[in-house]
Amino acid sequence: MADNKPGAQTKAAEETREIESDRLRWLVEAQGAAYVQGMEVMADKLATVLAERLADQPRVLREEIVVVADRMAGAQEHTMARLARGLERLSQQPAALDDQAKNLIRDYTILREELAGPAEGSVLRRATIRGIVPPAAEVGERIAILTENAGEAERVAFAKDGGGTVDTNPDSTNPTESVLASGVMSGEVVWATVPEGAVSGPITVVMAGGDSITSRKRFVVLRRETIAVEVWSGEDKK
Amino acid sequence: MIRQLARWYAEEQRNQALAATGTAPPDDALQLSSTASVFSLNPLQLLRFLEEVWAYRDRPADRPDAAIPDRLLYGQVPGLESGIRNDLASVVDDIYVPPLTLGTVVDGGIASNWDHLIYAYLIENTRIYEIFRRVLFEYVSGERLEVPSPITHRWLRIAEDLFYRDLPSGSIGSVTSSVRPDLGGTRRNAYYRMFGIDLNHGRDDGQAYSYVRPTATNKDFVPTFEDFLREVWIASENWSNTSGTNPKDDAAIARYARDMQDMLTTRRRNGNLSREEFFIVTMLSWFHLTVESDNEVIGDLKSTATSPEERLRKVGERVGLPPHVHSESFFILAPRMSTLFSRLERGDYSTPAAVKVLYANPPGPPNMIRQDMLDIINQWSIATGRDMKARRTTITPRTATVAVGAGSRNGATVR
Repeated sequence: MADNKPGAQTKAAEETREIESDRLRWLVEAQGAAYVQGMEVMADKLATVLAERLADQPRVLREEIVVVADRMAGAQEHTMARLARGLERLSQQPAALDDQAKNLIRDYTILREELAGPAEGSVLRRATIRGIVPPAAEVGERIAILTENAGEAERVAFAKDGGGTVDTNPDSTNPTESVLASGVMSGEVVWATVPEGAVSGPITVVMAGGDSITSRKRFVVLRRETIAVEVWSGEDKK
Repeated sequence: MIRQLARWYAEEQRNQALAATGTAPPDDALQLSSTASVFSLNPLQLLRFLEEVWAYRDRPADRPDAAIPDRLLYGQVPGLESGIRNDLASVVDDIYVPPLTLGTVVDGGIASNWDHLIYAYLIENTRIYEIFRRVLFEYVSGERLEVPSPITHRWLRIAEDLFYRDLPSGSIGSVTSSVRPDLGGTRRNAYYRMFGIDLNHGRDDGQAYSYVRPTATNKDFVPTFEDFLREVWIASENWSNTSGTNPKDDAAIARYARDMQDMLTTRRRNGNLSREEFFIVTMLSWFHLTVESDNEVIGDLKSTATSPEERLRKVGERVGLPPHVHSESFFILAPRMSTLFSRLERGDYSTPAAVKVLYANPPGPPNMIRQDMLDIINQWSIATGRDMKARRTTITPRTATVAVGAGSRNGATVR
């Protein structure tokens, strides 16, 4: 959709508002801290200067300086009060959604992506395992797990016989780039070796932040079995 | 379903490229190559693919029409497969188990889902089906349009074999018979039953389309849906209010959602309309995919453009049938409303505690449901001409028998 359409404008406005809100919070906190620190330094300097120079100044001038200092203090108080009110308003913003809501959003997003065509698939930006190449391998073989929007992988977990997982560290992780109409989407190729004890099942990739993504389809672990074949030579054994 | 298939092909092609070189082809190139892969299939493969999708369907108890027996699925009788599974080896969200598990495994990789009937209704409102009927007619009956390329030849064969004729008896997509011979009438009948509305166009000659309109329909569906949109808009405008009055009404949103859920599930009892929905959305998905990119079919028709509605307009010009003026809105609405209605039908938003996901915009990752809801509110308002951001105005009829007497404004006396 072009940017001048109502939906796009609304989305852009929301994103901007979200960014602005975060930036404002950061600025208020940073400015507040810097302001207080600055005022303390200034007050110290002022006190030192006053102590040195005002002793022999006329009384009227000293009173004027006190009035100015009072005004400055008042202005500071007023500014800090406004900052505090702003912070309070920000802190009253609704908190993140609860687990039920998150699950509903996740279910919706999965279905939306599932039903999407090739023109839409790439605009749905959620961390995902895009593919596993090859889809089946033996223990000890290397596989490539293609992730998107997931960041660096720390661990790869394979299904284990009887439940649970067999974890392994990735052999290597290579960044990838997919050039989309909407920009460049980053992804990773996570190389991992199928560990001993792994059985067919979904693969989970655990990212650096602790989040994890699980493949929706089973990865197949192939088993090499030795079969003893007795060949009959045509003559009965004695 | 066809657009999903094209996406799976795109995923496969991207995965192979990423594994080999670490760099994926540009998205536009993938879209073109995956669309060409779908157009290059044999009609029999696609017919078989439909059977496989139905066999691996999600919630089969709700859609009890029999699928082909397990022994005719993959791995049992070689040669009966669509062959599509082998093309999608590295895709992790398709319906197939990996090809190397041939044997006794007959279950799908991921249970298959397809679009809601509303998707087909919205796409068909663009007149895309009738426009491509004329395209097909021109290609098969003369050379007024340029000679088609090999890919377009394949596209024509699939379109004619699957979507402009009766499918073979026993096929899951066979929804016509001597009892209901008209496929167009079958589609309109399904839309009317499910949503209580007809398409925005009749026959090509301007005459009304004749089809069976049953009495059991969801006639209140659209007014309820519009009330639902209005309430969601109010809530999205006010959800973060921390002082003053807050007109958002979660209970009302949940009630409308529940009403819609009731209406939709009533029409679907014991799998009613499931096969029709499956085939109709598949068919419209085919045409939607055709106008989603500047593929060879669009190129042959000299209709390349930057958006589906613009391509459709150009194709329509070639064959003398203009699409609906709000085609852009229909193309935007279709995938969004399809997902929304599927989730509504499952009762996701039928309780006041659950509806905030429709409008909440919390810090952190964007809420896709809210994004889609805002798009739906905007585009539905454009397509229908009814503003979903304005409160519903209730017209109170003027009281006919106002008591006129000593206390009345005109001071007349009642005798």
